[in-house]
Amino acid sequence: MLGWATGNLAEPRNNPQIGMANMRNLMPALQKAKPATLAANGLRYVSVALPKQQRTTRVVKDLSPDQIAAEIVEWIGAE
Amino acid sequence: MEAILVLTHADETGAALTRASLEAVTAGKELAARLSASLTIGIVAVDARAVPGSTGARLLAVSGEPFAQPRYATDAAACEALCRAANATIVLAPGSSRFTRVVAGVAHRLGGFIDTHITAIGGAEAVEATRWFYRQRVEGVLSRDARPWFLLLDAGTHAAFAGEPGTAQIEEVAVQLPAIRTTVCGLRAPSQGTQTIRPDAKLLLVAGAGWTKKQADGQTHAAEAGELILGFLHTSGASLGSSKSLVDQGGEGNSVLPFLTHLNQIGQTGATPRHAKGLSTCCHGEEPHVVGWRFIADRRAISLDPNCGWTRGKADVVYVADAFPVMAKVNALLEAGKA
Repeated sequence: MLGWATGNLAEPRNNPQIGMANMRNLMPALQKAKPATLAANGLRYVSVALPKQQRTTRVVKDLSPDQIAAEIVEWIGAE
Repeated sequence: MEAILVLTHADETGAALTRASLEAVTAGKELAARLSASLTIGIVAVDARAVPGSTGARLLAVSGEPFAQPRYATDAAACEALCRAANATIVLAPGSSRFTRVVAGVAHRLGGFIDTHITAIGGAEAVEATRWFYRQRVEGVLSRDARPWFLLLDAGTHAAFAGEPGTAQIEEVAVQLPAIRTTVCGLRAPSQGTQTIRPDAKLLLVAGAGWTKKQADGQTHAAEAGELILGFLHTSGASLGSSKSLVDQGGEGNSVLPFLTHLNQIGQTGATPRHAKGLSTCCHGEEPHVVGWRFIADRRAISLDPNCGWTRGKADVVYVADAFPVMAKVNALLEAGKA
């Protein structure tokens, strides 16, 4: 995770060119880095699964805004 | 045998534990019962005796004025002292902003290991922690042999512990404080009326970029959209989320919804909040958006596009309609209901 503080300055404007210019310096440095082995320290993945949830979507096409609003308000109020 | 420690901290009032801390207590009690392990609760507060509730576990506390405010040096020293006093092998802590920034450092000081964003703890004989990977797309269960093992629990994943009022016996733990360089002068937070992110709300409203697009009359109605959204938040008490495109428009100084910031952003590049219900307006349900809805139980959407991504098994109900008149009517009904 990368964080930064700008003090009283505004968040800098989005400028992809800066990142591309910095990359010219970063990439050779990364390529020179030596690989390091990461010890597992007894870490085991017991299971890895994709979520299976597939919802049955009710598509409501033919209600007026008033009817939809009434249905939404009833839904919001329901526990 | 495992020795479980639950690290907790008091809220801003100093008189009660935070909700996330109480959820961690629930997780600790369940785990201790399952493993027949010893359970200790560690409290960081100005005055731990002011924190009520009987947990039935050993209580350790670090008290004093330096612990009134979150601060890395004091919080890390307090957590380290509690871990050493409890001689814990498994340490559970709430994933609050206060503890998230210190617990990794504490794990390092104790030569332990940490895993964050834990959503469930299972396993009958060994501890098996569940967390999501790759922006809530893959759910993994992991276990570690190394001890001490620190687990930061995501908020909203357990029921909050409700202890019976009682005078619990608290053991005070002495802390050797390091030199304190940070002085907390005060807190600045938006007033409740202007705060649009409400993690405890039952409902999440997500506003998409459609609110600022040209409407049937060929004009944009950003001001009206802002009034409708704020009106809904005011009457319903919902939390506000947004798609990235709408937030970015605001950051670039366009005349869009001025109250949106990147903190409102939901989805692949934003937050994944937990709410019982979610209402999506003017927002299509494509994959990058939907990963932000992973923990929204009941989902409804309003969209003009009948082929919108929400209709493909992602929402429970999709209303094919213009959100402007619908939300105006919803606000009127909610106002009438309040009156």
